[in-house]
Amino acid sequence: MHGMEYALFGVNHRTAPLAVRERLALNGPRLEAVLQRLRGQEAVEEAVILSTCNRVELYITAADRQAAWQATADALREICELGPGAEVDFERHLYKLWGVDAIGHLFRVASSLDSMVLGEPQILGQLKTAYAAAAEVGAVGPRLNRAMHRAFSAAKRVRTETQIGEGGISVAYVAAQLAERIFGSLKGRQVLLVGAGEMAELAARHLKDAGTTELTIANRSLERAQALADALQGVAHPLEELPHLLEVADIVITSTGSPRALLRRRHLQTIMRARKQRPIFLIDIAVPRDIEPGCGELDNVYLYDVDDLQQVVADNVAERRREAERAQRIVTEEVERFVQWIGEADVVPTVVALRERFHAVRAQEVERALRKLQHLDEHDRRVVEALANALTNKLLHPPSVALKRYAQEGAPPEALELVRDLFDLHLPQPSAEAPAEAPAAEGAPAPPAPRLRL
Amino acid sequence: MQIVLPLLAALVYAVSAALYLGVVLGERRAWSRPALITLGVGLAVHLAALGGWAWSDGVASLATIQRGLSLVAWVVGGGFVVAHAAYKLRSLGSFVLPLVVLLQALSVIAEPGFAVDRELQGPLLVIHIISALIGSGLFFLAALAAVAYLLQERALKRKRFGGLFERLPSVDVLDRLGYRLIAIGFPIYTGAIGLGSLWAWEHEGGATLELQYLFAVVSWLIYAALLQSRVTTGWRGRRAATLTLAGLVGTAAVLSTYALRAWGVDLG
Repeated sequence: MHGMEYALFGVNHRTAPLAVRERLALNGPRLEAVLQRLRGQEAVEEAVILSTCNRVELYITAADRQAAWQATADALREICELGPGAEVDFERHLYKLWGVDAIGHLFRVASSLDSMVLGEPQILGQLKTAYAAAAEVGAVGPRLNRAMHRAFSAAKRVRTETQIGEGGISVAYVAAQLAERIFGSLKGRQVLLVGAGEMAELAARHLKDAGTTELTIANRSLERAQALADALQGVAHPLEELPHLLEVADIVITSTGSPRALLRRRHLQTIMRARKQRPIFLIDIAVPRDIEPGCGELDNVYLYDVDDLQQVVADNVAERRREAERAQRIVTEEVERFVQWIGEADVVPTVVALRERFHAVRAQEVERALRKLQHLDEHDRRVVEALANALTNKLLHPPSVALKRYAQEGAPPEALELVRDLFDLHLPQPSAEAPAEAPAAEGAPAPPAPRLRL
Repeated sequence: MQIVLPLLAALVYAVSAALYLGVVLGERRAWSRPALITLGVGLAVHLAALGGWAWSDGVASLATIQRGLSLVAWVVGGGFVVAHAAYKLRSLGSFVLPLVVLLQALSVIAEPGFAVDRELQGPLLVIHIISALIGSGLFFLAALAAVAYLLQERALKRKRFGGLFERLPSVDVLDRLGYRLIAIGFPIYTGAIGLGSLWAWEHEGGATLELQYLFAVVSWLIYAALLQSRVTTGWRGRRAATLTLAGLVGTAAVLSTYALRAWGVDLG
């Protein structure tokens, strides 16, 4: 049974609304149920299921496309309890990819090129978890094993060779990154929230994750300040103490609803003198602004308002898109290498069998002829053997070259089958053999073992 | 033999410099570790070279301009390694190493003109020159930190971030690094100037207002003002970086006057 191929059935954030994705989501017991179910199916050889909030994807290997899809759809319908009629709807959102296209998609997903947030790092971990879960129930065979590991190493290459995951793409995260550009390590740095809005809270949480330890909250309503202080393990102060608080803080986030600026340039000048010019990072996310723009001109004062932060975010997003193009080239290269490898794995046994067959016939016929030519001396006998050998090798050359070319281009299974049929070659276990040889070695681009001399 | 080790050190430094430039310009982050290791090898070879010179020609030979340049190169490179350990500054190597290569190359090129003056036999002058060279090396390093500071500060103020911005240390780290280097270099440099004055007093009957003396005092005053104002009014950041660069102009002028004299240029 030749013609085993990779397939992918899935929905993602682009093809399906949340309402569809959540119905198909496969977590915990449902994931295991589907895997077990597919394992018992004749039509599906191997399966790995990736289910995240943005995608549900089933990677399988199968010989018969129609039967494989039927079996998968049946399993989903039953275990996700999609009633009659619902299947029509979910098929509308679903993509089915085969062979190289399925592999290409897998590599893109692993490299975070298919993610909603380009370059986000979680997806690779999620894919590894999905692979481990499938391996645990015995749903992974040599083919998916190989494909998954090559996908992981493609993702690793993308991460080290491009900057796709760098540069924050949310305002709060960018603020934390800028703080690190100003202060280096944020350990022990003091954060002051002026106003207790939601955005300020989010930014404060990011800063806390980045290592800041001290948090002070100043607000017109001390009650609200206290509530936020409790949530974030900070200290609440009334707004009147602002000048004093500004003398000690390193990072200040303002978000009050005040109609006029709270902090003016000349006030800040006095404060900076009291601080002995220690640098201060002012993040003004209030509209209208809380901090007079002129404050940013002072030495050792770094002032960013909402527009500034959003501009940095926009720059970073653009940069990630540029990096995504480089990443795509890496992925394409890795897919080509993988396809070539698989092709060789399919072609090599056929070429070997072909050569063995020709040379067996040669040996047999030479022996028979020599038995009838007893009068020949040693020299003449060698000439006859050489003749037969040269003839055989010359005849073998063009098909061997053609088969090697198939290997590089990704062998069309029909061509291989035709060759086997024409020359009556019987391969014990075609194609699935080679990938089994080194399943666990992550990133090892080992070519198939029997290298051909062509 | 006298030239083999220094030349080897220069070549190893050049490899390290190329790796560091690759880290910043070629975005090869993985190269920063080999770059640091290569620098360490270079410093070891270089130290052996300096030791060899001191062994065969006496410590005084390190106070000649040819070998003095080499000594400064070692101080800059070694200082960077220490600072690197304390502040994790992989990208600053692309600033520091080209300077180290330049100084070491100059020393190697100048080596054939090497001769120990009879004047250099006394310990006073030798200690004066060597401490001045060590102080200058630290000031060189501080100036490089100041340049990096000014680039980083400009990017943060203009809110425009190129590739280089990603890789420079934070402004606060660069500011503190520059300050510490000057704080360490200053007493050494002060001692050097004091000993120099004392030597001049003994040999020429009083401090002469030679060009290098003038430059030395001006740079000393700049560094003194820098340290003093940081403690009292908190002159840090851009002003401190600018003053650091001004101080270096003075220090470099002192070195250049000596170098030009050694090569026979008449400065009056």
